[in-house]
This record gives sequence, structure tokens and C-alpha cells, in this order.
Amino acid sequence: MERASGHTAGGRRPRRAPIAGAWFTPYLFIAPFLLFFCAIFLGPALYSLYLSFTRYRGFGTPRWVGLDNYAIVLNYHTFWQLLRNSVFYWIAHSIPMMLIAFLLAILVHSKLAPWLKLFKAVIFLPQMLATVAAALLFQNFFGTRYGVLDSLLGVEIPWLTSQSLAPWTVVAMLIWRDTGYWFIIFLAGLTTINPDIDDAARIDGASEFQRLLRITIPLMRPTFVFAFLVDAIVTLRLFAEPNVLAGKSGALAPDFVAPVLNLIVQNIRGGQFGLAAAIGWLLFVVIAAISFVMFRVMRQRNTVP
Amino acid sequence: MAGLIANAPRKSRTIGRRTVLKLAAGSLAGAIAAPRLIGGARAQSQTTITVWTWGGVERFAPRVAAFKRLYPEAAARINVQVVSPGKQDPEVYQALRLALTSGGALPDLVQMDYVGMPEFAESGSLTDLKSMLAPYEGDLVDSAKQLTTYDDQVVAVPFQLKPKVWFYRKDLFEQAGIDPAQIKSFDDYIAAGHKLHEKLPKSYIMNIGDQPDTDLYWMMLSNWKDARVADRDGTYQITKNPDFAQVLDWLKGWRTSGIAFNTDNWSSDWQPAFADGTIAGSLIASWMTAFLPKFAPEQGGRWGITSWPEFDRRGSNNGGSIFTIPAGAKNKEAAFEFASKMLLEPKGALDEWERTGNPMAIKSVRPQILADAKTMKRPAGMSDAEWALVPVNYFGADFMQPIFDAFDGYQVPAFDPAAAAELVLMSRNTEEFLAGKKTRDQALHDMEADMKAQIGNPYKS
Repeated sequence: MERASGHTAGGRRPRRAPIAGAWFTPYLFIAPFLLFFCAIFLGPALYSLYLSFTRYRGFGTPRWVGLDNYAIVLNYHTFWQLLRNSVFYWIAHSIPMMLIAFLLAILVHSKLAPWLKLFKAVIFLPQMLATVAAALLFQNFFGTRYGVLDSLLGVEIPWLTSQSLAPWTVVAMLIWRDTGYWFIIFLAGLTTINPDIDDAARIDGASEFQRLLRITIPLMRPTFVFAFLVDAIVTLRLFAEPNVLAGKSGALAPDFVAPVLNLIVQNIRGGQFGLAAAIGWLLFVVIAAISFVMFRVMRQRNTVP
Repeated sequence: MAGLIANAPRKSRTIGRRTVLKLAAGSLAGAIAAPRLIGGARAQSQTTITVWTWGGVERFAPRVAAFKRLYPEAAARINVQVVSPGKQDPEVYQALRLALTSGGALPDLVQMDYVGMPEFAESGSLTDLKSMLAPYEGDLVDSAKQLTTYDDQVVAVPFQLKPKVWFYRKDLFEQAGIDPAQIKSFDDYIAAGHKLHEKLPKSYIMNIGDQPDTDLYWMMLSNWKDARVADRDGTYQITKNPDFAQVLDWLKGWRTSGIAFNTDNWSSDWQPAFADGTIAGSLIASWMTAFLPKFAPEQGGRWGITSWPEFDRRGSNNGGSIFTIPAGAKNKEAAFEFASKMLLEPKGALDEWERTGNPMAIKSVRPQILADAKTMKRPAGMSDAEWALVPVNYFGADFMQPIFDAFDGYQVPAFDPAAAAELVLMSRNTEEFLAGKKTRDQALHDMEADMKAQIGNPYKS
């Protein structure tokens, strides 16, 4: 009985005799994960770090070149151009997309609109489509002479080949595709807010807008932090959308629309593994830095009384 | 576990031992009998060769079926297993690098484009096929001999040769009063382009966009046999050799003269522009015979084929496609036997031509190919619409002759082991030049500088 309750009559836990080898039991439980983590992620990651200091074709012996690969990449204007493209995609799509997703979530959560279940399904629908299929759909829609949009408008606007327009076409696709996902996340976040707080504010005479601004948004901050952070990481590693949309039949997209990941793929295809690894690690540093800054900024705001 | 056995009833322990013995005996008998039960053919020592190709196993399957049909005795000894590591050839090279570095199972036969081969030949990773190919050498067309060789090593079986071929709309050229045979120089070509567009404002003599294929750059550059990116000692030639500048000038000329429809090959606008007559010509390669009927099915009989105009007649589309045998492959002889039977022996080569339209690498089948083209019968089960799109019907029964003629100027580009990486850097700077972001000389200078920094000596990096 005492063992079952876990307490002695005096209310104190009994001291259990130490079992030989018990110290490693927790490690045994996490051993499968650790094993896979080391074999599939940590090991290859460390090996790629080593490769980033070498010239390596993918076979034979890597040749140590020190920091040469990093110097080459940092002095290569295309790296900066492609990194700018990736950052552009993140900033240009993230803010409008999050805003739209949040407003849609508010609308559905407030139950003001009719056919809410239908809305949920329709908004989430683009997420169900495979990325490549969605990109091909957009490619046909935005084709220059034979695209659906230009044919309807009776114009020949080079949506996918113009240096100024093509990046915005990618942004449009990202917003169209990802809004549904973040809409669901925000909707889930809204359901975690205690309705009593909202009711209390309503009784105190707060308007809809005041409640949104003073209650809903502050309480949704952890969800926003999560959303913006994850979206930043995912977008900076963007690859498929711009390449399928603006690339020609299996080829990678041209530089003015290409994400930074293209440089890694091109170097791997060209047997330049040292350079590819160096670009990968530089991208890791950029993503880590952006995530750190975002986290700090949003966390500081969170601590304001 | 030990506890469970100890607590088990005595009877079941006895049965267990017997069962184990029976199972062991059964397994042994089964192992011996199984191959005989599965198929008598496999009972005699059959070698399984692994072939790597790209674009899916299904694409290669008819070749394996043809091997079994044409060479049943060899097929009884050689089982062909096809693996497709990816959609495009770079994925095959990547898989091969991985297999070479991991020491894992190497394929016995690897399809490559000529552009990918020097990397592996230079490192000694490919089998020297000189003695194996010797019996076939007398029958190989000269172009195929070029395709088998890298730097005096014979390392490849020629598969798909891709001579440069000009496709043009016979009807539209005739309406505009243009005779392709009279177009010799670059200026002639531009003038013909203007003439066509003035007469038929909807149509263009060619297409080119802001991002032309890297294939196009090298197809044009291969006009000069010695045009190479760098010498063996690592001295770069891009800014020194005027051929590189010439190609950029021509590309720019096409872009700015107004004779070209503004889209690149393989863009979403490319195919429909053929179908509605916007594109009335294409300076491309022989493989287009397989695509044009699909792009413009309504235009059967309206397309002519000839060699490129004289100003850039020689060369090829990256040489073409080849089969190589890794130095570490286990079944080299069997792999070569399969490849040679299907590609270098008349029976296999003719069958390959009938199935694919591939203009084959041996001389002895050419008269037969030309004759067969005129008497080809519709295969059983093929619909009228499908039959109309077969090249002999779409282009005409004599369509192979101009392709064979184009072999006269066939040359493989002088690719080096870093060709794949070089193509990317060439393409990048060419696009910036065509977009007006760089002058020609600046683009050439940057091409070379980028290669020096990122590749170094392509023969040693």
C-alpha cells in the first residue's frame, strides 16, 4: 500500500536502494534516438564541416585547402545575389502571408462567417497539392504568350522570365501555398486562449478591436514567435518552388530568381563538394543568426509588463 | 530468453530440436533446388549485370526485351538489371561518385553524356576498352570513334550520337522565298530571319531567350575542335581564344536582331510556339526528331532537316551519349557483350534504330537504315495518329540522309574533368551578358576568373 501510494505514513518518500547500473538506464532509453541522430545527422554534418576545408570531387582523397572555400564563396557575387533572393522571398512573403492567415483564423474563430467548415477546407487546400504540381500549375498560369493569365488579359507580360517580375511570381505562389498551413496553426493558437478573459473584457466594455489588440494578439505571441521562426528557417532553405516555376524542364532557375540552395546543388552536380559544404555551413550561420535575432527581439517584447 | 526456454515443457524442447533439424535440412534442399524450380535458364551460371541510366527504368526496358528477343543464347547467360539513379545525367554521375567513394557495389555499365565522362576517365575510374572495341573499330563511323575516346584512352561504347541538325518549316521558308542551302554566313542567316518575319509576321526563324541552354553554347563552340576551357597545365583559354567571344557575339546577335522568338528551349512557351507556327526553325541536334512530332503533331510533312549553316556547321550536341564500364565493375565482359550486341552488331543496331530513331554508330547498317525507312510497316497495335508521328512519316522516308550528312562535320567538344562545373559558370556569365549587365569582354573575363577561383586547374582539382 505504501509502495503503491509512494509515501510513508509520515509523508516522506522512502529511500530506495540504488540499483547497480541504474545511472545509464535513461541513456538506454534515448540510445536509439542518439544512435540515429549521430549516424544520420551529426556524423554527416561534421564530415561536411571537414569537407568544407577541402577540395573534394566526391571520390578519391580530399585535399586540405584551409579556409579557401569560405573565402571563395564570400568573394563570389553570385552567392550574395542568391542569398539576397532567399532573404527577399522570406521577407516579401512572410509578412503578408502571416497577416492573411491570422485574419482568416480570426474570421473563422469568431464564427461570423457562414460555412466555416467549408472555409477551413478551401483555405487549406493548396497545402494538399504537391509542391512540384503547384509550381507547374503556376507555370502554366503565368506563361508569357501561352499562359492562362496573359491569354485572359490579352497581353504578353513575361511573368516568369522578367528579372523584376519573376521573383514576385514566386512570392505569390508561396503566399498562395503556405497561407493555409499557418491559418490552421493560428486557429489552433486561438483555441488555447481562455474565453473567460475575452468575456471579462467584453463585460468591461472593451470593443472587438480593443480585445483583438489587447488580449488576442498578446496572448498569441508564442504562436507568432513559432510561426515567424519556422517560416524564416523554411524559406531560407527554399528550393523547389522557384526552380520548378522559373527553371526550364528539369534545369535550375536562372540566378535572378534562384534561391541560395541552388549554389549547393550546382556545386554538388559539378563535383565541387568542398565548396558545396562551405556554402551549406555559411547558410547555416545565416539562418542561426536570423533565428537568434528574431527570438531575442520577440522574447524581449514578451517580457514587457 | 534463457529463462523462457528453461521453463518450457520437456516435450516441446525435443520437438523443437527435431523441428530445427528438419528446417535446416529443408532449407538446404530448398536452396539447392530453388534456382531450378524458378527457372531452368538460371540454373546454368547466369551473370547479372547492373546498368545505370537516367530518366526511369521503363525507358530502358524495351532495349532489354530486344536483347532477349534478338540474342536468346546471350540473354540466357546475361541477366540485365536496370537502375535509374535519377531523372537526368548529373544524378548518374553523383551516384557513381558515391559508389566509388563508399567502395559499394559498382554498376557494370553506366550511361553517360560525353560531358560527364572526362571526370571519371581522368581519375582512372573507367575500364580501358581498347582491346574489347578493336573487333568493331573498322565498322565504327569516324564520329563514333571520337566519342569513345578521351585523351587517347578508349573508355566508351558509343550509344547516341548527336550531330548538329537544323530543322526548318519547308512550307514557310518556301512562302518567304528562303533556300536553306543558300544560307552560308551568320549575316545570311540574320537576313533570312528578317525576310521570313517580314513575309510572315507571326513567325520567326528561331527562338532564343535570356537564358539559353548551356548545351547551345557548347554546341556552337564545338565548331572549333580545339576550343577548350583550359590547357593541361591549368592555363585558361577563355579570354585568349577568340572562339569564345565569337559564340557570345552570335548569341547576342540573335537576341538583338529581332529574328528570334523570345523564349528559351524547354521553357513553357517553347512547345506551343512550334505548334502554332511561331517558331519556324531550330538550330539544334538530331534528337529533336523524337520531340518535334509531339510538339507540333499537326505539322507532319512540313518540316525539313539539313545541316547547320556553314558559319557554325561542325560540332555536335555535347558529343552524345555513351556507355562506360567502371574499372571496379565485377562483370566487365558481360557488360560489354550486352552493349556491343545491342549497339555495335548490325542486328542489334538495326533494332535499336527502328525502336528509337537513334542514328547508330556503325557504317554497315546505314544502307539498311535508309532502305528500311522507305519500306517501314506500321507495327501491330499502333493507331493511325501514332503512326503519323513516327519520324519516317512525319519528316518523310528520306529523313535519315540529312542526319547522316550532318555527321560529316561531327566533332566532340574538348571537355575536361571539370566540365560540369564550368558549364554552370559559363552559363551564368552568358546570361549576365545577354541581359546587358556585362560587356562581352567582362563576361569572358569573369567566366575565367570564376573558374580559376572555384575550380583551379580542372585536370588536377
